[in-house]
Amino acid sequence: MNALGSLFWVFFKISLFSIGGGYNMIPLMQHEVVAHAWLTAERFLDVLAVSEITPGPVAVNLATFAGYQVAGIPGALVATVGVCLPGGLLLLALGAMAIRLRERPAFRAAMRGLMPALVGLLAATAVRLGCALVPAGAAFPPWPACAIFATAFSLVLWKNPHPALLMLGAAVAGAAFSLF
Amino acid sequence: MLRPALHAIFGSFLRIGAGAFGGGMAALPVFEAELVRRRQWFSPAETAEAYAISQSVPGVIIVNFAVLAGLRLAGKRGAAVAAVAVALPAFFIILALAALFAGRWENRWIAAALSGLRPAVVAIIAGAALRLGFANLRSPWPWLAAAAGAGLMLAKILAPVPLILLGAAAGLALHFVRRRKEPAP
Repeated sequence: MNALGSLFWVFFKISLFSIGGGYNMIPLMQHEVVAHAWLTAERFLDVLAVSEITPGPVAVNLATFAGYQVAGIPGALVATVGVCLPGGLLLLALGAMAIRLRERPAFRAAMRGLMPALVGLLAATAVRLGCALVPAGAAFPPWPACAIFATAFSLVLWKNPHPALLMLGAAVAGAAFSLF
Repeated sequence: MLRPALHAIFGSFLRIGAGAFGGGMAALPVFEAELVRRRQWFSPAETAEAYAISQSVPGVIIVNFAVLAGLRLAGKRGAAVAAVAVALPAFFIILALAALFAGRWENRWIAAALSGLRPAVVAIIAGAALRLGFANLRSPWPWLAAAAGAGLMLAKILAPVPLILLGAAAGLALHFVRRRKEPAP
């Protein structure tokens, strides 16, 4: 398959198997995008950081960026359309039936079964991306990164600040650590 | 209610797409500000219901919401117009940033800022995992299942898609087993 075709298909697939949007899509995105060598784990994190600061759906941000890196503006367009289509087409087809589907006990049971899988996937993705931050041969443990992670993690859990504020603080801390 | 013009739908969803910082999880107030208060196209209850539905089908929450709302406002063309409009701001902003950053990733200042941003993003993802768990996993068993899932993915035994399917299938299986044990009264 050519680059545009596989961009479309992979982002369509990512979207089709993500339910609940937002962060739930990140494990699939990370897995596919890094497996296809479209982005490095580091660049994936960079784009996520940008997504926290800019408006719009995180999925669209990631699809647009990865598509652009692989195949320029046509790539960005194809990946974005691919990520938007599954939900849109499904809702067009279901229409008012979507309301009743949500209330069916079997659907709710499937969603309940999905939750542990989503929690596990997100945790595993955090571990994997965290490991990618430690370059081979670099000083271990990387104290500045550990300090920023620990601070950000406790802030996220206990204060839940606006992501853009958190990103601003992290950027300043990163600059302070590496420039001074 | 009068059927709104397509260009009004386009304008409204363009505003929503440009105002929804933090993605679908934080978008409900943005939907309400535009569609309930400014345009008075929907009631708060209708907005909340459409938002809940857009979270329970696959895909991008904001785009799903736009399709539902557009469908109700002006049929299939309304849905298409709303979906395109809501994705446009993010698309062009990221395109502009990608072009701007191209070749500048190694710039001293950008690299320094990114070295701080990356661990913070990992913290956000780890925090999202715990938050989702605290909100949805109410006994030790689902937590054990989550830990097993994380282990299977880290050991590269299962990819995300099979793991998701396994979770949904386990939920369904439990449901049907329980229903057989307790026949309907």
